[in-house]
Amino acid sequence: MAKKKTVTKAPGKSKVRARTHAAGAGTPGLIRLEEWFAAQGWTPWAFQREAWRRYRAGESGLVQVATGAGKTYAAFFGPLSELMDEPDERGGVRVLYITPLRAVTRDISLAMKRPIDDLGLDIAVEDRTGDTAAGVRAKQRHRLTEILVTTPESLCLLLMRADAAALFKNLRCVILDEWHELLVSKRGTQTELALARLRAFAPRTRTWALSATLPNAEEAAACAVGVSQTPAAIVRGEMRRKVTLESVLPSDPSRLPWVGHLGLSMLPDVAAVLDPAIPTLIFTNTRSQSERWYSALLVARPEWEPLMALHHGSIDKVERERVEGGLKDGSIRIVVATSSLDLGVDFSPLERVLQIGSPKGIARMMQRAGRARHRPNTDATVLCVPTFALELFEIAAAREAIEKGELEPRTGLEKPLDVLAQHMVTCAMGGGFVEAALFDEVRTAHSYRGLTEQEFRWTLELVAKGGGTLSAYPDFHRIALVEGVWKMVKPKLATIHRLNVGTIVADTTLEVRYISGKGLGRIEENFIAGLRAGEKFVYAGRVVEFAFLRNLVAYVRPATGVTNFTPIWGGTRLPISESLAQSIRRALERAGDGVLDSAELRAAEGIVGVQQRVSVIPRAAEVLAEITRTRDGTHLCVFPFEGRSVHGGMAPILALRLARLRRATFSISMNDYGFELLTPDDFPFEELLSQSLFTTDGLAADALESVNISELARSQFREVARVAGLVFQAYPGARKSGRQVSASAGLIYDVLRDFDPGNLLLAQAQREVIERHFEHGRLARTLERIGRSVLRIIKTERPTPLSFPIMIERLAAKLGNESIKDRIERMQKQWAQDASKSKSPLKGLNRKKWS
Amino acid sequence: MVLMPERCAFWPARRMLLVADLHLGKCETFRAFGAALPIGVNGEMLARLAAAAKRTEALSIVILGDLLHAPVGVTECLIDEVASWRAAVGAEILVVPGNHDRSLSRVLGPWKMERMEPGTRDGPFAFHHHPHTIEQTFVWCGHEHPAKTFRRGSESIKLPGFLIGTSVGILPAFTSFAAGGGPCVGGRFFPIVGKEVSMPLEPRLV
Repeated sequence: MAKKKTVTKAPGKSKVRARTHAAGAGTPGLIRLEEWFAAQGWTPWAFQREAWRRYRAGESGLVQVATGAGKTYAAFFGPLSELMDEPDERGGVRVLYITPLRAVTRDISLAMKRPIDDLGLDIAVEDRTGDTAAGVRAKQRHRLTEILVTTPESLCLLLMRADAAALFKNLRCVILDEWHELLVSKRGTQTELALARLRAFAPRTRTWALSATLPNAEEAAACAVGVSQTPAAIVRGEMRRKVTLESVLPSDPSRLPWVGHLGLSMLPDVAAVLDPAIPTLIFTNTRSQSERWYSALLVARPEWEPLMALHHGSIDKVERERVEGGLKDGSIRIVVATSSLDLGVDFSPLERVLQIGSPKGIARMMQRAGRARHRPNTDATVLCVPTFALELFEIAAAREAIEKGELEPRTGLEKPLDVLAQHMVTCAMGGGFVEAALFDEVRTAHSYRGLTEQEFRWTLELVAKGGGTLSAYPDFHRIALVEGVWKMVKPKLATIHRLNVGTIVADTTLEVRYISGKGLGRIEENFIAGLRAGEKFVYAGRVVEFAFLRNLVAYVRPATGVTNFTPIWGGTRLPISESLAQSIRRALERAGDGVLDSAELRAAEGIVGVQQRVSVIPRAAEVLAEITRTRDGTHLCVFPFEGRSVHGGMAPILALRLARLRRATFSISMNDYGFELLTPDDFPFEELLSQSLFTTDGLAADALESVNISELARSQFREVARVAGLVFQAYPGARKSGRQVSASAGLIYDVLRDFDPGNLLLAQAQREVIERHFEHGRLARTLERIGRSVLRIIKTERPTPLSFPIMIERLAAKLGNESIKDRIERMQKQWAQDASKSKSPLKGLNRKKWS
Repeated sequence: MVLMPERCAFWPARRMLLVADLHLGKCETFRAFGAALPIGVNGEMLARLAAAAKRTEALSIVILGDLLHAPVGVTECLIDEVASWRAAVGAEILVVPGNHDRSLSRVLGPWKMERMEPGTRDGPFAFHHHPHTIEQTFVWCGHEHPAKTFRRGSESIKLPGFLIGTSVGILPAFTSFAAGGGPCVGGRFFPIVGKEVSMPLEPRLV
């Protein structure tokens, strides 16, 4: 595998840039900044100059360029030169830099200060986040600096100040960093609304977004700059580095298991590839996987301990900064990380990137590959490590998609009313708002361009009076009308709103500390709740022993010995993208035809053989459905290979359509390759299953019905309830007062459904589920594809290499039309049967049975 | 004692209805904290209680604590709503104070209810809010909100019910706006399955 390289230091990032001719004479400010650039030994890229010029010409837009290619200065020198050319004594913020990552605000403000300090400019830069020191924050109460670096949440807190309009009235420029990341979440929508407000305060404001390469740059730019007459400018950086994919394969391919996400069977192969002389980043897909791999590597190579580190989002900030610093100065050579290192700080000395498990998307793979900086004119190489046999196809498919340049588009959300509700309360606190003016203002945000007056009114009613117009809730006034202006009138509610602002939904987490006082990080409450004192677990790469819980801190002691007990953090698993899915289907067909045109497909030969023996390998124009009877009931596994979110939408629809033909309750599971419907009884899938069940006729109605029956909307409501302020993440003051208003979002969903079924937040939860599973028409396209495909229905004796991974997936949903009484009676019968039989047939089953 | 699917128990000898944990005013409490929860939860509960009282022709209703949720939720609206409901209910109503009933004295008058001291005995029974044991007596109480999850394979159903031990009986929460799930130990669990109270189901397999 990967050959050892001679280590040559890559030159500083800007020294190697191609020289371009000075693009005409700039303004005095720009000329001085170009001189500063030259003094650093750098020459601006053409795209940097283009961004400066277009900013100064009054345009807004998006700069699309790879990380580490000088995009910060591309966005910053336009407004900085303007500050130099047009000094303004009136105070307030002139340039606002918004980043999704709190951790990088310091690095960004330092980078901004360099030219300012070198040129002796009288311009102040500060950052403002949840981490900002209390003293600085107190000063910021009276005065904000000309340049402010902040996060979307901290910006919302500033917008809640009564003097918000005065703070931002001189604003000229907003820079949105990592916009491709922010864009796709409610944090992005929240940012769009905040920008609409800022533009109302300071109509001259221009917006510049910075983003990784996107196939739909125009749409991303429109979200950033809002609804306006002039289209947004798109500035493209020229650096496109080739990315190549290789994989680490086991010497004996049959060693790869059929299922499993950890991939520890590959440990010896990975340890053999690693070399502390080559600075390496090992990406995993979950925090728990990173803990396990870090511990396992330490056991395999104890001598690497001082050179190796672990990095994930729940680890204490101080430790994370130590690891990042160690990577930069070269004292740490191998880091096991999660997406916590996808973005942000650039680690110049990195030379190699490993990806354990599926990368799930092509853009993500390229982003991760880009973390390794190479000598100029060399490719970025990622070494992929499959965690189970089917992932071999994913790696082969990812390579094909990268070669074809098939990147995934990223799209913003459509007018989520929960975010609007939160924004209205924010505006009511920040000086208040007039209804008609806010309606016009909100509609300048791209996400809300199609907001109807009715939806706006309803959301206003929600925060003002509770339910809809006809069902106002007594004694409920979150905001009130004072002489034509909506304002926050209750200080207690203002405090609650301030503490709960934001759109990130997290489980309650607790701090983890040694009894001696050193902080280790945060952990989910549910995990700690299941621990007894003295129990050992792996945390932040160490074995610790749980001692006691006090005041929301879990105290632990250092422990010795080995344990495999690792906390599992919540969070969603990314589905594979549409581009990757297509490639996977093609790779499967090639493997089925015996065309083993890559190392991965050759390694997969064994599993392909087993699958062909007991079932079939579907061709790209076929869809495979396997029916298997086990003691757990009748399993139907369908394999559209479209990614778990599409399967998550399709499975309940198919279940609903089958349940209409025959009354039943289905348990639904899925993974990226297919989905499973399991009925506890014998169910005649082979009689009832036909192509017509996959029709797109009545799709919208069936989707809505299946979402409601399967309670998917109920689980999605958790996020809606938190953003709209129906459940609280934090309460002011005593915990006791908090307990009076603690109820799960699920319970609140039930109460709303029973007593206010017209509540638009319920409809939003449904819509979010459907949008997530429909992925902008992807589900309908998949159904159409199945309609055109040949449906291969195969009865199998036992689970197959394709179906086995789904059968052991965690249950995702349930759908059925039996009454509770029917279900309980059936369960009782089954318990009786269970008692007379042996243990589950899935237990103990492994690939050996087939080979 | 008859266990009823309305989430209450009836003692025919005294024509006495037992209920626990109504948590009246819970939605009002949420609203006071700025969370927009609907009206209707109290009304549904009161209607269910009135129907149970009518069906059994109860002479008295004993509330085993947590009639109210929190002081801030005891609004004028709530006081009026319950007072007008009370006018149509003939039975006498006695309330054993629970840990949530900090404003009980404010409502007893307007709602024409009487306080019952915890531990009050009547024949073979005694009444409490928190589970207690009293020698030679069977104690009826609430507080725990018993509910149990039944599983088989990947399927699970959570049902509220009655937890009946040798000397203590715990009623399910009368309100549906409360998470159930006390520990459910120290007795047999009689779940409410749809419109009936079921005999204890098979213990779930581990």
